[in-house]
Amino acid sequence: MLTEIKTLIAKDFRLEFRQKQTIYGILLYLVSTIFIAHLAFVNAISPETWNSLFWIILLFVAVNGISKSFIQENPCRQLYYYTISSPQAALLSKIIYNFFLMSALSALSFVFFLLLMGNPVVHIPLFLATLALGSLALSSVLTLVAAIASRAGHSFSLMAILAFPIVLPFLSVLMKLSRLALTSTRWQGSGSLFLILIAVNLSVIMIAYLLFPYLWKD
Amino acid sequence: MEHSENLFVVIAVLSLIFIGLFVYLFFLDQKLRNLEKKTNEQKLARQS
Amino acid sequence: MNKRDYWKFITCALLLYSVVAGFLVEIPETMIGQAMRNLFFHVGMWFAMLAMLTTSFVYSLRYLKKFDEKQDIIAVEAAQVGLMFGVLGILTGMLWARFTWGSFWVKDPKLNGVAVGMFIYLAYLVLRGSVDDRGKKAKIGAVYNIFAFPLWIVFVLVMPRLSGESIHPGTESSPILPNHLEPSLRLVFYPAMIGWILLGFWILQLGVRIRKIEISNDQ
Repeated sequence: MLTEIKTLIAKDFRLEFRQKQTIYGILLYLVSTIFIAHLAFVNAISPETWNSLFWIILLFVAVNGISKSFIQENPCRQLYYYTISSPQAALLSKIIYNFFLMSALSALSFVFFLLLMGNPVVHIPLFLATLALGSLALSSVLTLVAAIASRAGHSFSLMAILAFPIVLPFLSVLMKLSRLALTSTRWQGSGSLFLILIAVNLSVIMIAYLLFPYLWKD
Repeated sequence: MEHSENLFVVIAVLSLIFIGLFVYLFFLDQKLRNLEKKTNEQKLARQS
Repeated sequence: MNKRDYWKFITCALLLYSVVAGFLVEIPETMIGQAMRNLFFHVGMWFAMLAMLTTSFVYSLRYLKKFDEKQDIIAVEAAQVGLMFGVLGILTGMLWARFTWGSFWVKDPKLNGVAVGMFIYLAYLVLRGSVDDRGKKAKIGAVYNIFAFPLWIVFVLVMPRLSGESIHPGTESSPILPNHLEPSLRLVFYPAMIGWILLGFWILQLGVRIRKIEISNDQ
């Protein structure tokens, strides 16, 4: 099964590079929203605001980016995939691929935020760890939601409605973590939050793993 | 502790409201039962 | 009619008891005073919602096992009744909040969790509404339900407790067995909660029966 997953991930990467439009689209979305924020806030912003803005923009970018992950392939190719791989492999490969995608997007967001909105981050390793874990969390949750939404007609608003309530509490934990990274250079206080995030994340992946085959059958 | 008469009024009012709601629920229950019986009879009639 | 529906009469009895006894029982001296009697009603909404959403979850699981439409009907109706109780719980909570804390809503982990919880199930209904085919609707709905319910439990029960800074009562101790409740209050509280849960099941049963008739009329 591992080789299945590896080949599926490789396929996704190759697809992405061949059809660069989707990547460009998401990048453009990312940069333009950050730029709008840059224009909207005339004066320097407080770390609090920086933090909130960052995660809100990242959330929208994530929903946008991941919602496309089940839509790209056309039906004939999809039938082919179904016959050659197991649903679990497909799900895990999608989650991992989206994780890479989200990591890249969050890193880029961070860079652009630094450029345009200033840098209030005091504890950079903590922030980066939060970004990494956040990418995993967002990827796993949004991948399954995208799978569900794609089965129900590919509307972006449906994806958003489904995704936002579920993602909200993850976001609040992530925001708390990054707020810590803005205030002090110590790792104190972040341990429990990390644990919660990891625990819920793992259970989400497990549940998705068990449920995905039911979505696969059509 | 003394309960002023006002409290008894509240109890009475709420009891009335609740009893009213329960009567309505039983009424709906009965209506449904009749509807179910009618639908079942129609189904049997259609099948035979 | 009355043989299998005896529990409905028990429901009525329990709830009427809770109304009468709820006002006659002695309240310990606390800051909120007489308003503590709200416990029997506001919290009842919450217990009924919990029972309904759990039922919805269980029947979603059952649906995925057998793909029997009857299970799906129960799952959907239970979610709707659960939502209704949730809304009532939030509304009554807002009223109570205005009296106790001064405003209708506060930034509080428990309140946020409950609000998010409502959105989760509203999204469930929207999801089902956007699919036309009944079989697909049920399957996708079941998958989402099973995925979302554990998260709901986490958001509403676990996270407020973990964050520790909630002003909503019941977060430090277990919400199911409030060990801080005086024994005299418990005498009214537990029967009341059972009554509200049974009421939820009664309304659920009515909804399911209506839906079954609607479906058989369609065919």
